[in-house]
Amino acid sequence: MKEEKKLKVFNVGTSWFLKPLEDQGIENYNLDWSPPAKIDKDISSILKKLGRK
Amino acid sequence: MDIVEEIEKANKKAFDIMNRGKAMLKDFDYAGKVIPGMKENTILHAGPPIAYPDMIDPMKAAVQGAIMFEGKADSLEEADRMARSGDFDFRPCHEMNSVGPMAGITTSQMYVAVIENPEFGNKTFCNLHEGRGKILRFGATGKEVLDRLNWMNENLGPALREVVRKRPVDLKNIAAEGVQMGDELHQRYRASSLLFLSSISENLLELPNAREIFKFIAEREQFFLNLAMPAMKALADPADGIKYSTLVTRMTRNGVNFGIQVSGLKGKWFTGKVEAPVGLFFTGFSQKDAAGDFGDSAIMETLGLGGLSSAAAPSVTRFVGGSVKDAIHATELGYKITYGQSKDILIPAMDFRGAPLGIDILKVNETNILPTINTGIAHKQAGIGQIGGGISHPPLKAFNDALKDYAAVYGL
Repeated sequence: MKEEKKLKVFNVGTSWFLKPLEDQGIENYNLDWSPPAKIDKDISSILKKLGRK
Repeated sequence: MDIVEEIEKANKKAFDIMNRGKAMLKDFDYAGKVIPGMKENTILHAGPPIAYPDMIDPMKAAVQGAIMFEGKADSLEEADRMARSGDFDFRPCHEMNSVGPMAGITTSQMYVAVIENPEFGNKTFCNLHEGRGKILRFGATGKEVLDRLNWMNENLGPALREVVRKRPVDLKNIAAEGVQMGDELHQRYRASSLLFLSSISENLLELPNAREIFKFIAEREQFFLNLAMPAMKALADPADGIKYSTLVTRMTRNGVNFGIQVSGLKGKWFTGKVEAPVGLFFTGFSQKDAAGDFGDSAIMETLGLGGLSSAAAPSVTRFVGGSVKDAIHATELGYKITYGQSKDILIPAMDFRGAPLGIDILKVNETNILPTINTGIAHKQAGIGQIGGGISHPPLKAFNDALKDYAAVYGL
């Protein structure tokens, strides 16, 4: 007989996909990630001075 | 203290002010009597500053209708000539402690609501809600429009004045309850309009014309719009002018430009071209008919409502052409660009998390996430009125320019 393994899900991006997993009691991890924004050079330079990306 | 600490301290202060304030509906009266600086020849309009010749047609028509309402012209042509002549002083509502939906046109003889934030002592003002269809705020100017405005001035305004003078209404409380009942407070105001009507009914029913006033309000499911907007402005205004703060205190559109203001850059407008809202259209209309987005109603999003609280109103998502998933996503994006959450306005669908509050130009610039604005769509020709509902976004340019100016002002 095959051993049943506990499912663990790692989700990247919108947390919307986690809800059905949570509803089914599936262990999950979420990384709140989105593609980096394309930022104008001048804006980027100001943000860096403020310790931001 | 370095600048990063100064910004955090200033933003916490601005955020706490927005969060702590109250908005009490205290009075109704003539704009010329209660709005400081309002003169007989003052015409208030929505959005950042704009000259009459540059306005979109629905806003121009609303100006002409208002001039006729004031009894200064007998025809739209005469009103147009007068508006071009320099006889009138055009001012953005926001610069006169006021807001107005769509065209936002407000003149001295119009009744306005008077809202007070008792925590900080400031007052704000907004004209009265006409309803849907052929109305001045969408640029309709026919006899029925002017007749309705006159009726509102002679009946609705005085009745509401009598009622709220007896018992002021806590508008923030109604807004919070409305969100619990499925309003996001830009497109949908059904619950909050009924809550408002309920809150005034005891004193309203004592008036001799109670039946017609009651009917007028009950038939307008967005009646609370013209009260919620000045309520949110009353909460936002005291947070303006806090040195170093990067939080947005105003977002508004005039059909040509979208303008924002930032607390630490008091009085300066940062603008970019408006979008035409995208969404669903009433039968017979399409995207090509849509006017550029206009109105001061983005004050609702400035305070975390409307598009930022989309998750509160799943029923709106179909009207604006999205899904429930999109509504939750719009609110999740709202949290990414705001300082914190409202302590009073809680969204059931987000596990009673507070509405996203305090849009931060730093966060908008580093993520390129723009606030979602839920809005009505007006026809680009005057007089046709609302042709749909949808969403729009501010131009990123306004946030870029604000940050560049911030860097210049604060020596970055």
